[in-house]
Amino acid sequence: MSTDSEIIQRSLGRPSEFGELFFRHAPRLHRYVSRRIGEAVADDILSETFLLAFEKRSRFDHTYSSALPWFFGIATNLIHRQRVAEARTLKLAERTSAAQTVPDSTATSDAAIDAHASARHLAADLRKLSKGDRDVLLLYAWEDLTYEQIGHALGIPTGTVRSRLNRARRILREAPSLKEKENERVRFA
Amino acid sequence: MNEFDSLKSLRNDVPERSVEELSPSYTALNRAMLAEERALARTAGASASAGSDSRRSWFRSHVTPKLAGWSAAAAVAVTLGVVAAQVLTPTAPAVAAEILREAADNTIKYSDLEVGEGQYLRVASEEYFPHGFPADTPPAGFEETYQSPYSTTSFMYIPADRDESWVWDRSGIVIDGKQFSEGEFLVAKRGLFYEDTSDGIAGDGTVKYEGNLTLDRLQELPTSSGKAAYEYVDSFYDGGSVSRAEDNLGRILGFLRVGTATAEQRVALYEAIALVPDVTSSPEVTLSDGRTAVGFSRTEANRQDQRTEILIDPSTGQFVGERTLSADGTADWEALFTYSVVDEAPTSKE
Repeated sequence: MSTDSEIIQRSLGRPSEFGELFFRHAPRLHRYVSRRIGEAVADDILSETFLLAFEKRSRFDHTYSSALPWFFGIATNLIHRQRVAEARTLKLAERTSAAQTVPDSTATSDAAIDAHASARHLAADLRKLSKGDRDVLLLYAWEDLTYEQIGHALGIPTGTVRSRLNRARRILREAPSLKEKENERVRFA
Repeated sequence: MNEFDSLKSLRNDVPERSVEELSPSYTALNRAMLAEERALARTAGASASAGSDSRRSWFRSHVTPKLAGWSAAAAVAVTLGVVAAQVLTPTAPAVAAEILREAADNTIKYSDLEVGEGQYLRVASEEYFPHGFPADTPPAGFEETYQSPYSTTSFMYIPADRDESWVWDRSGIVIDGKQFSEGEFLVAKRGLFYEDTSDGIAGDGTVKYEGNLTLDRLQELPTSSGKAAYEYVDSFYDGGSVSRAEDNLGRILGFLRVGTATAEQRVALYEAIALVPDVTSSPEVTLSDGRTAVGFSRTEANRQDQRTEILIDPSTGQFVGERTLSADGTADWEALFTYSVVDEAPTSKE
């Protein structure tokens, strides 16, 4: 089976070859985008991601065999334009976590309650991260990308990936586990 | 549980969509690819009618229910983009033929003729032999004329209830004004006209399938995707031809020749054609009767580069013809089909 890099190479002379990359990566990319900014916008972002990638494919770095980090990077930049959608999605995640019924099992109730509360707080805390830190954190936690892959995706050195991830983790650990007030202003860096 | 574990579970309710569900997001990419293919073709000087450089993608959406008449406007819910001349290999995305949706030009629209109870689907076919009667030695009495072009016609009447009697009215062969062979008038249930030479005869002659094998297999054709249909077709390959691809394409042709393939089956079969190795397509082929069709073709190296071409009416998605062409592009044989619904079948030769 051809690598993504080989497909992109061939597509320079045979453009339609590029379509195979959609089949390989679209579902995973779409889910990542949906998780960040909601499904309502995800279809358009996915479409634009592949269109942009196709238009820029002559600049793909063929030292990487996989194009997935590259696609994540394009999608992430497009997500940044959807700040309102992302904020709304994270607020929804916070409220959804708050509204979920914790299973009433004596064997697991304590762990379930902790997880439930933790997820709810995380949704709130994510909104407090800078967009750069949030990008790194979610690509690491949700998509299991390596530091190098995240660096390729976001166009930053691996060392910067590491430092942003550490900062994000520290903020999440140190964030107060108290309910936010309704009128708190959330700033996106 | 650390913060990463919690983070992983956040937004876990978001499912991963299938590629089929995401096909609307493919449209813009597909158009861009096509535009660039066309630009490259123009630069290379290739003609669009040769279909040698542009590629478009197959897609599937919904299948229409049976509707009366050929009203394309009422019937269209199934559309397929035409696979252009770019070769598809089995290693190319097998899912491509079944999932991509194209909203561009040259789509094939599908509809079914509705055959009511007691009515018949009438398939009129005309075969043209431009090089005359295929024989190494001339038949007696036709020494001077057996290589003259000739044509034959036939009318197949297929009842709404496939288990009832089919009628096949075949004209004889007339070569250069002289009757070469008499016609035939055949009646058989389920289209089993030549029972003693029906499908399913094993190489040792000991196995005989009791029925119309092609029709029965067509009725079991998976229609969920072109990939499923292709795998089904491929499953019957038993080494009959040294070329598995030729054998499979021939089997797909056999299903189309039955004349009863529904719109849903035709979608699957055309998508399966796209998965046969080395198939190319032409968006506009002019038939000898003046109609235009979409053509899918394949050249077989084991037969001196003879090309088999399958012809489809883009306005109905109906199989309207086939032909074989020599390596130099000249037609060796052509068969064209037209379809209609009639209230009764003849009881004797017309």
